Formats: sequence, C-alpha cells, structure tokens
Amino acid sequence: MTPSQKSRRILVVEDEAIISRDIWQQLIALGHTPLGPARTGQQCLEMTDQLHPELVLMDINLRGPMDGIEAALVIRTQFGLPTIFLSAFNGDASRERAELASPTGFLSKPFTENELASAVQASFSDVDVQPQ
Amino acid sequence: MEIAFGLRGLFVVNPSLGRRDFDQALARLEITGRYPEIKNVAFTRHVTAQEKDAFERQVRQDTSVHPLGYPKFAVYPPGDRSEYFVADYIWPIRGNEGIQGLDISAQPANLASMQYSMRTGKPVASGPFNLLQEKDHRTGFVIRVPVFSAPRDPGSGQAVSTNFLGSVAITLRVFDLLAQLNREGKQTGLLFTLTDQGSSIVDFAQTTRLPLYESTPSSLTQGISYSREVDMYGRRWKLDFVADSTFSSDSERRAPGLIGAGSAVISLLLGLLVTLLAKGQSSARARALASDEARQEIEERWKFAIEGSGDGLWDWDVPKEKVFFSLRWKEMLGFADAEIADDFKEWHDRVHPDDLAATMVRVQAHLRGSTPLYISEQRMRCKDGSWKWVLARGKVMSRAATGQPLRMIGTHTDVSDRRSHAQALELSLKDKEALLKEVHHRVKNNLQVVTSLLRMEGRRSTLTEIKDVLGDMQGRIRSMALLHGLLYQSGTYAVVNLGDYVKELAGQAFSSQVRNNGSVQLKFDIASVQVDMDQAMHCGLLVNELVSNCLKHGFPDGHTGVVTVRVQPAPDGKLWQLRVTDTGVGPPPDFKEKFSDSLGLQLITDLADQLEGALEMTSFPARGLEVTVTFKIKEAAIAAQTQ
Repeated sequence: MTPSQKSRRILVVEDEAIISRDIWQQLIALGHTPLGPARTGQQCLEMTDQLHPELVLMDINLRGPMDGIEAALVIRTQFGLPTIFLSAFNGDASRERAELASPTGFLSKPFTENELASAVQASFSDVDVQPQ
Repeated sequence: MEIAFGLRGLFVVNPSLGRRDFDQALARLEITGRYPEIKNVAFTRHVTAQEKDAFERQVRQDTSVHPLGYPKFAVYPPGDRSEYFVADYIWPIRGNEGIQGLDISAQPANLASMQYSMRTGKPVASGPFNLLQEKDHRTGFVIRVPVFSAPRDPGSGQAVSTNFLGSVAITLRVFDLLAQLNREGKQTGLLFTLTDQGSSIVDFAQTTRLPLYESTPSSLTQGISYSREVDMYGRRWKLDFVADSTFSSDSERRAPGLIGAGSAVISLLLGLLVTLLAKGQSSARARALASDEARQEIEERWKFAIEGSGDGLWDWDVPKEKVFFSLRWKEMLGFADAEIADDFKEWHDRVHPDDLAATMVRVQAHLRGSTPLYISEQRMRCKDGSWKWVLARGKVMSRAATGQPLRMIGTHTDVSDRRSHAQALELSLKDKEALLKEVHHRVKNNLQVVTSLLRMEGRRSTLTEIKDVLGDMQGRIRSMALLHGLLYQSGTYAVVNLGDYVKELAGQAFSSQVRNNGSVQLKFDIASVQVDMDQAMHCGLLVNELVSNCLKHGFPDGHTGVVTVRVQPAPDGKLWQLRVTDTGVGPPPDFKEKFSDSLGLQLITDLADQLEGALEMTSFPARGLEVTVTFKIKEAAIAAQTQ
C-alpha cells in the first residue's frame, strides 16, 4: 500500500460465500478492514447502520427482494456513503440501471487486487476517477 | 334547405364529421353558382360546460383545413354558461372569420329557438337581421336544422338533447331568394311586402315588425290588397300585397279554377318559398326503398352459403353500431340464437382484453380504407368463460359519398386447434431458452467460485512456483467463465462476438498480471465477427495463453512496451486471423525446442489444432514475438450473423 492509501473500513456485500471470502482476503491483503459480509440488501442496510463502514463493496445481482442497486440507492441517500459495484462483466445489462445509484466505481468480477486497490482509492479521491 | 338536410345526413352517418369533410362537402355543392341566395353555411356545435376547454383546445389544433389551425380560437362572448352553441365549421371562412367561436346562446331570442329545435328536432328560422357584407338589400335570416348523432325516435319526445350535436345553419339573403320570382316574371303587376312579426314558438315580446322584403315600388296604385300571415319555421311572416289587374288576370291564367286572386298569389308565393327551401330529400328516400326487396333475397342466399362452410357471419351497420350475428357465429362461442343481441357491444365486449387494442387498430385501419381487407386473430370469451381463438376476416361493402363506411361484412373462423399447437411449441421453445440461459448463468457462477478458490489457495502458498501455477489456472478458468457470461447475456446462447470476447478477456488477463505501473500497454486491432461457442472457447483460451505468455516472458526487469491483440480477416478475405504481438525482449530463437514441455506452449499448439487453424510463431530477437493463428469460421456462426 502506498503511503497515500489509508486503511478503510469496507463492508462486503456478496451472496456467494466463497467469493465473499476471496474479496475479504483481498481487502486484508491490501491493508483494509473488511466488514460483514452481508448476504442480502436488507442485511447490508443493517450492517451499514451498525458497523459504520466508510465504503460499501456491493454485488449488483443480489438474490432476494432488494437487489444491490436498490440497496446502494438507500446507502447513498441515507448514509451518504460511496459504493463500488461488483458486476458479472462489463456488458452487464443492469449496469445502466446501476448508474442511477451514482457508484464511485464498477468492478467486473473476477477482478484483481490491482483493480480493487485503484477502485477503493478512487472512491476517496476528490477527482471523479472511473476505474476500468 | 336541402343542403342543410344533406349536411345533417353527413353528421348522422359520422357524428365526428371533421372540418375538412364539411368543407369538401360544401365545395362539391357549388353553392355560389347554384344557390346565390345562400350567403354562408355554418355548423353550430352544442358544447357543454365540461366540454368547453377540450373543445377550444381541439379547434385550435385542428389543421385539417388551415395549416396553422386556429391558435386564437375561443368561445365568445367570454363567460361561464351551462351550455354553448358555438359556430364551429363555417363556409366560406373568408369574410366570416369573425363568426367562428360565436356562442349564440348569449342572444336570448336565438337561444330560445335553438333550444326549441333541440327539443323538437324541427328546423327553426331566425328573425331578420342585416347582412353586413351586403351593400344593399341587406336583410337576411338563418334557418337552422338540428343535428343528432343518431336518428331520433319519433315516439319519444323527451331526452333528445343527449345526442344533440348542434345545428347546420344556413344564412339566406331575402332579396336573392325572392329575386327568383322576378326572374321568372312572377312579380309582374304585384307590389308586396314581407314582414317578420316575431316568433311563433316562444313568447318574446317583439314590438317592432321587421321588414323582410319590399318589392320595387312601381306606379301601381290601384288594385286589390291582401294580407296573410304564415308560419315560417317558427317565425310569423306577414305578407301584404297589392295586385293590379295584370297580375290578377295573369295568375288566373296560370291557375284557372282558383277562386280569388288572393289565395292564388299566396299559394304561389308560399309554394315557391317552400319548394326553394325544402326540395330534395324525399326522392332519395324513395330510391332507397325501391331496391330493398331484391337485395334482401340475394343476401339470404350468400348468408346461407357462408353458414354452410362452418364459419360464423357478421354484418355490421357501422353508423348504427348494429350487427347481425349468424347462428353459427353465436354457436361458436356456445350461445343460442336468442342469447346474443344485434349490438356491436356483443362482439366488442367478448374480445380478450389483451387482444382488444390490436384488433381495434385493424378494424379502424380497414374502416379508414388503409387496408384492403380486415384480418385479425383474437381470443373471444365463450359462454362458459373459456377463451377461443377466432380468425376474423371482413370487408367494408358500402361507403357514403364522403368515404364513411356504412356496412361491413365478415366471417369468424374457429382457429383454436391451430393456435393451441403453435402456442405449445412457442412455450416449449421459451422453456428451452430459459433453461439454456440458466445453465450458462450457473456455469459462469461456478467457474467464478473456482477462480476464487484458486486465488485463495494461491494467497496462502509461500512457494512462488505454486502461486504462478494457481495464477495460470485462474486465468484459464476466468476465460471460460467470461464466455458463459457473454453467452448468458447475448440472448442467442449459441454465438458470441469474438471481438468483444477477446477484448474483455485480454483486458482481464492483462490486469491480473501487471502491477499498475503502466510499463506495458495493451492495444487492440479488432473487427467484429460472430463465432460459435466452441470456436469462441478455443480462441479465448488461446488469447489468454498468448497474452499471459507475453507478460510473463516478454518484459523482464521493468522493460516497457506494447502487447497488441488483433482479430482481422486474413488477406485472402475468407479466413480469419488471430494474432498476438509484443514489443518485448523476444524469446531465444530455439524457444520451441527449449520450452517444448511447457504447458502453455502445448496448449497453444493444441488449441490452434482444434480450431483447424495454421499456427505461426515468429521470434524477432530483441524485438518481441508474433503468434498468428489463421482459421476458418464455422458456417453455422456465419449464418447466424447474417440473420
């Protein structure tokens, strides 16, 4: 981690257990503090309220009544927190709708530690950088 | 008067008669030449308080006659009234612009006569007034013929205002009307005046008698004078005249046997007036009745023929919204003859709600004349509540002179069997597609989980070699996951755009290996081409191996450079080429022997074989490596692309 990168409290929202553990480990490797993981939109809102994350890493396609985009909209309006969306791939149809939640970044799964590191950094910079 | 009745007929056929239709109908009548006494013709529309705003808006936007519409149109005089009688369509509009929008209900006498006409369905005449556009002989009056959207039932005297549309008003100049008498020499030896005495319908105190006409004063001083009052469409007109001997003898000559010149003259004058005002309409009615019987017999015959074919028959009187439904038509839906009335609603209300809009669009298109035949398939509700697919076919058999459809005839064919087969097929196809989509989705998800497992295992390992091997495996599995993701998303589940796939894939392979120091760049030169799933998989794995190879070996110790991935047609234009080039240090010339046991190189050879392609690997020492696979894209994918 470069000196400019601070350790952040990051809530992981991902309904696939193995993938969420992978992300969890990646965040630790990057020197951040992972929180959660939350498996549903509702759980994500509760954890945001209780654990006070600085950033939410959100799977777009969550199962259940509230998908990632809806959850992110609530997080943005109620908690004012930045969100990075995790989507299956670049051409995902739900990405257009996801733009409504003004995420600070998009990561296509699977993503590398580099991509994750830049996306997290960009979420806290004043400059509006969209990671690839 | 025949004109007013004729126009009323147009409204009966089509209650929503447009401004343009009105204009055209009048143009055809050649009024100026044939009926010089008619100064203008207007349609005064009955507008309720609730309808007023919508009506004003609609007139403003009506561009059927004037390209700009009437943006300033408003009912005047302003003010809220419970109902309005507004001059809407006017012929000619030139010189009469000021009349448009005039609500005559602001004038009590006019309002009363209008309401009388609305109530009774009878024509009414107005009191005389001055025609401003004339220089002399300005006296004119208006005759209004009420218009109802459906023919009035003569039995019921009440509640007719519900379908009252308005009235056709014809403004007549008295001078021109009576000038015809002059032309025909019938005023010779006659001095007469015509006076309006007031209304015979409503009791409006009219103190002054209004002159209608006075024949040219002549030297005539002596003669027999007569006076007679007549009812002229709700006005009391008084005729005073003095006839000299020329006239008396003349009229006696023309009407021998009449006792007394007075009654003869009145008969003549009134006869002329009435003829002028009311000739026409009866002859048309007679003609229509004459052919009725013959027609009925022909109809019986063809209706019988159609019923025999098993199709139901419908015969629609469009203006009246009445439909004859045949026995078979009713049977098809499970009804007995007496259970369905001859009402348009009987059909309309049985069409499936999901099919109704599309069906009505087809009906309207045919009524307008946009389609040569009406053909539509829709579900109809049966007596037992079930739905039956029906093929309807029909045609407008007669139209009014204005083009308005009067009668449409057609058939109903039961197509339930055919529909249910087609539907079963469609459903099974949809099921299959949904299943395929789900399979791709799950395969993609599972491969992603495998990638995560490999990555976690790699993170745990302290041995560089194991980390590398697990990293390579991740790249290969990621390539496959990506393909399933694209297939899941494409909606075709069989072909994929090779260019899109390769770009995405190379990007992922690239970012997984290069730390973001920007020393090596990735470039693309990619055309768009569809390939099937197998070829896509092989190309993808190939690109993954080649790009990983370049990054692993091409740029040691912070060397900078470019990796280019190219997918383009081969020079011959038939085959395609997949090429990965780098500007790195390049392998030693004997790399093929040296690395013959490396899995990467073996895979590259195998994948090229599987593509039935030609593999070329060229090493440029100190300038990098170029690998090209030239292969043929399978026909099936090309066919899918051209669809």
